[in-house]
Amino acid sequence: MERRRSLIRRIFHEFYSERYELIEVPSDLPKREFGFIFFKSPDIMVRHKAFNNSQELLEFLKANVPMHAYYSTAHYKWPEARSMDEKMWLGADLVFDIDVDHIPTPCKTAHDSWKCLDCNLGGKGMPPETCPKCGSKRLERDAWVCDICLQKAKEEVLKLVEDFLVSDFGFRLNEIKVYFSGHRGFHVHIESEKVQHLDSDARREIVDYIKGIGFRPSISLNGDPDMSETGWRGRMARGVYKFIADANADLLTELGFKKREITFLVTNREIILRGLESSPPYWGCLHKLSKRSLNALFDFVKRSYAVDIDERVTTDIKRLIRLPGSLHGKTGLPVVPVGISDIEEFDPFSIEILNSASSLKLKILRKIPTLKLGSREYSFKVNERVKVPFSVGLYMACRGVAEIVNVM
Amino acid sequence: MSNTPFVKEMHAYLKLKGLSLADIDSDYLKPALELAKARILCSCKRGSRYPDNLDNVTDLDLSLLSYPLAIAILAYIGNPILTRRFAVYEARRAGRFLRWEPEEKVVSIARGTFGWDIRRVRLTIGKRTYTLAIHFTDYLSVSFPREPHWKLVNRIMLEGYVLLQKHELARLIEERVRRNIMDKIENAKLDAVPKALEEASLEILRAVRSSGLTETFPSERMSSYSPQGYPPCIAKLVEDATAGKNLSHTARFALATFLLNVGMSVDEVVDLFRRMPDFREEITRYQVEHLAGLRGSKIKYSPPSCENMRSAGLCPEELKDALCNRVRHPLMYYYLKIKRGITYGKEKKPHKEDIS
Repeated sequence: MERRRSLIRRIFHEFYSERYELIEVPSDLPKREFGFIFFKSPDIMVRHKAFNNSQELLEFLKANVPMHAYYSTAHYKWPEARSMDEKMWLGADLVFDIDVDHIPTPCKTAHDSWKCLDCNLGGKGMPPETCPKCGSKRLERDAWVCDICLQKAKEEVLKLVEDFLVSDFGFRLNEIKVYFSGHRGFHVHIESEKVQHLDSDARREIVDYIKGIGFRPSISLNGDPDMSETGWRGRMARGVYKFIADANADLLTELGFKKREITFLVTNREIILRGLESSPPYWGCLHKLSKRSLNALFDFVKRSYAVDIDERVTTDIKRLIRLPGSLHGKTGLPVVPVGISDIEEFDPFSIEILNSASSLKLKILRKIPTLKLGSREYSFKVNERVKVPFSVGLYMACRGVAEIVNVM
Repeated sequence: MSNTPFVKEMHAYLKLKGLSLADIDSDYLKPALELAKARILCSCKRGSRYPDNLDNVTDLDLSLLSYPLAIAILAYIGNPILTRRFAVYEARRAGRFLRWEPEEKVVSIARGTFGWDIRRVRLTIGKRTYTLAIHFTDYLSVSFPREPHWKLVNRIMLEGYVLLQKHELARLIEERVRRNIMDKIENAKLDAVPKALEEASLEILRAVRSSGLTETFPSERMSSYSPQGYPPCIAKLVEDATAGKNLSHTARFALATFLLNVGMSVDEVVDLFRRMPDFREEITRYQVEHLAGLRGSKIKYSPPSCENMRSAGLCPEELKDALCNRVRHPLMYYYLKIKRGITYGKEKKPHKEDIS
């Protein structure tokens, strides 16, 4: 174990010595707080660090080789102070976290699993809220990066940036920075002056807007919305249109529609659609549905447009977030900027970690689910010795399921 | 300017006159001090909303000068209830005037005094016509007790600008003014307190005391309903109501329905609302009786579910405990906690990650 960890640390050390150009020094560096987790004590976060200039930061990374490196989205007058009051908060970037951990994807049952730490019950896929056998909340999760999961995260990022941040919130594309989180998602940072002073409540309002929480059709959809409108009205109009056009009895029954309502929708589909697309639009036909069914319909459409962001990250104005250019200690993958136009092709396993090595020889220690990483599918047997691309090998080693035999 | 004494120009005006608190005894300022007292007393008089005698003060100087004096008096008294009432009262007064002002004036105050980014537009969407748009960051800087129609998700936003009608901008300014007054009073620094100011403060306190306003809330009455069982959201609302904070409509609804459901009587619920800045006994009683199912549709109302509380901004995330994560309704929290005994709440809080 010790030997394995020290080998990983050596690779991290080489990374911070050779590939420091990947480190993206945060703006306003001296006012940021830094936090690190080191290999020798992976359960302890060393916080309240600060650096005067980028040279200091890079030297620190090279000398101390953190397993995880974080910086504050907030700016402080005294970032090194031990307590939040003494730090004196000056403002914070607006940050969004999209993580497939929270988003169910069909492939999760294939590669993710969970185990209850109290009764040892286990299962495939996303963990339940509580253990179905003993009700415990102490569930251990075995989660893997996979291409299909990342694809889902990418779609959510595009939705967040294009539909919400640019179109509704009016940010320019060059104000929005997207980073691969080093694991199963992306971080979106906005550093514009205008957002710096938003308090936690204001940020919650932004989260609620993006997740559609508190959306009231009776208020928002007042005066039948047109499909060409922007914002939630337009989204709902387009979504309702698509819903009616595609509606089938199965889905409608699942949403709790009555038989009478289903017949009504199916037989009058064309008439309803014509009403929705006319100018001005006419939604009157829909009011033939019961209030409950109408709400179920709106809720279904709303959910298909809302973006699944982690609200805790956005509303916390004193949060630490991964340093761009650093390595994620549990995956060995670098946190790197991703351009919005290139995001669809982005493959974290294609990023070169060391200039000097391109592959690793591994000994597989534990069972690993079959995974699609980048363009290739990987399937390993326990005790097998295999040669894999460097980043895939480092990933397996950081996950603790393989041992590095040789760097090539 | 005299009806909107918070505007920037006023501060310049007072400076120009070279006046300070030390001049309070002068004959010049005496009438202003009287007016300041009247303003405060009006603000805490129950049911009195916009007394005419104040609006009729035509002397611009007098009206302007009374404002900082009232703030000084309240800062000296340091009673949060009086402070809040005054802030709500003055803000509403200002808001009422703004609604009658031409749009340019309202816009220029929003821009000039508060530095808000406001655009003039002309858009009809749905059934409403909008003439103004405010940048969403400025919109959110006024932390409203958010009613559903003020929630950002229910507003129309175009490229970063939230569409508004004139009266809505006036309402936003009103809220900003209220918070500014609160801040001013709470942060006012009084070094040497002139005698006249001290006397004025005592006079106000005497008048207020005889009206029963500063009586402390009879907490022993509450004990039979096990306040220990209240979920954090309700406990906070009770605390706010007791402290005389101005609660939003949804907050009042949630609080009243919850308490009625756990067995509090209409009288006791009405008592709890006594401290509201706009308390009017007959109206409150009528509404509470309605919620209790004694009037109208005879339906007893339930408080909002956790999800609705959250959307209404009434779920205090930072105060949530382990039991909160297990229930979906504030009443369920109460019943479980009472059933299991109050020790449940001491369970360790779930580990909160502060990194991502």
